[in-house]
Amino acid sequence: MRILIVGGGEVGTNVASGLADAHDVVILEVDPERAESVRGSLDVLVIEGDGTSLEALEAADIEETDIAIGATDHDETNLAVCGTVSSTSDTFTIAQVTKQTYVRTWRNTHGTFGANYLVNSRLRAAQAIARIVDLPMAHDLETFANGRVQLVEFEIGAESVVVETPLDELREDELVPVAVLRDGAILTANGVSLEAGDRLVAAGTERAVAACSERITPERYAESIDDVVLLGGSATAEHVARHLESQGRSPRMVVEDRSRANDLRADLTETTLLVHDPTDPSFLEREHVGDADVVLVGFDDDQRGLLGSMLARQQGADRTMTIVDEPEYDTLFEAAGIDVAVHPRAEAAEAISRFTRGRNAENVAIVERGVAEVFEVAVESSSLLVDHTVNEVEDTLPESVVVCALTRDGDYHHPHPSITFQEGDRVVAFASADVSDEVLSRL
Amino acid sequence: MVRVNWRVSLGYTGVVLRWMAAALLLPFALAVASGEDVVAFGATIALSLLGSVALERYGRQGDIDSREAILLVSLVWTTVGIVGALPYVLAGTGTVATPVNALFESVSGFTTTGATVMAEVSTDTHSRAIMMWRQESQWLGGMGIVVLAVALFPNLSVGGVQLVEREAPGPRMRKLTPKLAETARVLWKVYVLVTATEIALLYALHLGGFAPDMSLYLAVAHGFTTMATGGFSPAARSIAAFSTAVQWVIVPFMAAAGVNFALFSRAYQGDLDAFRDDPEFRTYLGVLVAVAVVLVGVLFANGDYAVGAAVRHGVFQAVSIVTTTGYASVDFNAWSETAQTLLVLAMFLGGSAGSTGSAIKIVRWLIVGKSIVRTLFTTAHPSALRSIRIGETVVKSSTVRDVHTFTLLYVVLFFAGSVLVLANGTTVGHALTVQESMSAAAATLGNVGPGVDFVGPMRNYLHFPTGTKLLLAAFMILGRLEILTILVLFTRGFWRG
Repeated sequence: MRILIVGGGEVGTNVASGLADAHDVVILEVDPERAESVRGSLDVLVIEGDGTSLEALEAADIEETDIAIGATDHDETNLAVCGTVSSTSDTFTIAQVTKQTYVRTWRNTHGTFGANYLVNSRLRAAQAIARIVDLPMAHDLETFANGRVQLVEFEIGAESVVVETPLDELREDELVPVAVLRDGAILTANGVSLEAGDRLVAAGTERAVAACSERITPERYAESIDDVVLLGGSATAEHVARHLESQGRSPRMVVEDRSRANDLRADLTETTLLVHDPTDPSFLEREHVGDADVVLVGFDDDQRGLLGSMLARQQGADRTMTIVDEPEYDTLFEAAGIDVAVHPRAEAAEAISRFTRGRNAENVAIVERGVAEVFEVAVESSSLLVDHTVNEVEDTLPESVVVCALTRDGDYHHPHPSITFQEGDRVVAFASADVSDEVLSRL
Repeated sequence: MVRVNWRVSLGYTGVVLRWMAAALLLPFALAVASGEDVVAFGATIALSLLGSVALERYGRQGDIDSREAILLVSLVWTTVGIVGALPYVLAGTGTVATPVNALFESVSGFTTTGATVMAEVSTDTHSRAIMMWRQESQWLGGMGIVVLAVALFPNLSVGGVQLVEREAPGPRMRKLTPKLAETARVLWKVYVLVTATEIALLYALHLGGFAPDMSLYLAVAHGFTTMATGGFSPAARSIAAFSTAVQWVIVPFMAAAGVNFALFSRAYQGDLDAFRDDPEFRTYLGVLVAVAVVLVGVLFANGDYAVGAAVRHGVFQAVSIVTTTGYASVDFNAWSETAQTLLVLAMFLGGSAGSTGSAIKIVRWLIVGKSIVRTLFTTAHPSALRSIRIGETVVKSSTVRDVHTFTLLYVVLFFAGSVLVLANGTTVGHALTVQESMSAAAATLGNVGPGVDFVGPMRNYLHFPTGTKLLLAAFMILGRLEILTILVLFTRGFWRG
């Protein structure tokens, strides 16, 4: 496919790097310097120009383009891109936005703005947090096969009882321990034992993933996550609070600005709103924020986010999750002891990549910023998989490939080595990034 | 601490060297067919494979950043120059068998210069395989060895943009397609297609009875070096050895070789206005016509030729020198000083950006000219704000600065080279004239090939002392890689922080 991305910023380059291998990607970027830097780092066609102008779109061959993506940092620009593109061609349009109002308007009016698909980066970040709030050691969780299969990435801490346990021993009826990520390497072989600091990738049903989480989580963590505190009142934090409410929780939320708090109160009925400076240590102590099961930090700027997270840590919070705008600060946040940093732009980029590839009948998730990919394929009658066992298939594929799960008639099946693939099965498979394209094309 | 990841550059040099072995198969096949120089080519293939394995083992795979790209391109061109010299040494025939001469000939080939140190250019003295290798090396160097490697070896695409920008001629190399490997393939496809057309036409002339001497072997040989703007010919008298019809057929192909290849590809895709809309192409045509008209006028005024011959030789030499090809349809050593000086000046013009032509190139002259006009205007109107445009697009001021730097460097190198050649020329046993040394420097730096008088089109560079030969070989690489790529290697800042 030919894909046009307007905006060579965080979202644009992230989407592009995921798609450039298998598709023809063109990036329209206004700023000449940024255009030059993208040109040097990605194998895509970079054209200087304003994506909301017809001339620039024509220069980028919009007529030949299958999908156009508005990926700048401005909602209105992205929507204008969709509007302009859809008025001149029948290219499929996607826009990244941050305001939920636009998504609501779009949904209620059947595609205003000329957009075929909208991705709200803040909402995506909030969903990413809500998915793993119950799993204390989880960094990321993606779902496959209509939610029947969960793929989760756990951090193995030094206190965890599974340290030194062979990977294979974690295998359960509905759970496959897929791989270990250690110092940038992917270990999938039998006989690998877990070490402190590893990242464990596992796949299974929701129930089995929860059980696995319980097993690897050190005892000092609470059994169930009840007490959640949100520091900061950013739009993403608001989405998180709403998700937590829908999960039946009653979080506490600390907001500095009174009028913002009033707005939030109208919307968040189950949340206790506290109006105070969220970075005031004595206040945090008074409110026993250190006793919370999870502290979520959601400010509009990263400096306060870092400050808030460090304070929560210092107060003794078991787990801090922080919304970080700038992915480059990742290591800094890690060094400060933050458990999970969630990036709205990266989440949007992944959502757009998944959606774009999904239109090509690929459901793909990216593990650890691209070291590996997990994808879901339907077994068709002509497929090479039909009538072969999992064992046979794994033997013919590169070493790093693991069959994570399969669903048949909507039910989860453990991919036992002896199980035979049938037409209509959906297979979820893991592969390191260097072989993923080859594997995907062979499956 | 060296901050350049030089082992990555080394590793990829090995990859490129493997393709060299493949390129050597053509002369190897000819050698096997005629039974001459089989060992020379067989051994070279084995050595390049061995070298490639060693380089790949010692080097590393990794990311190519701009400095690794610069180093890699320089390494590739030096390595290829050395490996390409092996057949001449191993064959052991003629004057090219000594290491320095072989290196000169090989570098002159790959850089598409066309200056020779063969005392006897003939398939009687040398094997057909050696003479074809000489031609093929120019063809490979024309579109670019690294560009070819990127087309064949997609792994190089990551960071490959920097690579191609380093090798591709002119400041305007742009991708034509989203994928770099695809762009490289498109360019090579056009190159192969036009070359094949020329070969077919030349051979058709032969079959039609218009070119008795143009055998299939020679048609292929000249196809290789026309489209590369190379200028080597297996015939001692260059294109003067062939009929009028052959000379006229070669003219448009030399001119085409000086055109930005991206335009051919756009025209092929149906954008027929591509040529008309390109300001550089229009200027290029204008330059060709202007030089040809003046030269024809001078030749005719001198009464050297009748009208027909004056037009033919004037047009042929004008196109040959401006595009930096270096073919000759006649020994222009016999021409007047005026005509010869005109030719030496024309050596600085060059083809278009993105063509196989070398020298300063039309787009740079265009920018230099426009910036002179701008300076004149702002002298009269100090507060005027004017940008330099090529067609619709505004040329970035950083690009204008780079163009000025390049042009100045080119001229400085040319003068320095002329002086060195002249100073070192006393050992030749023939007192070099200023014009001879200048033409030698200009012809090597501009990848043209022949100069005038002592290094005229029917003569050679054999009698220069070793030092001069090495200097001129370095000039050829400097000219082909557009100076800065090589010069930057000699700065401290390149290797450190």
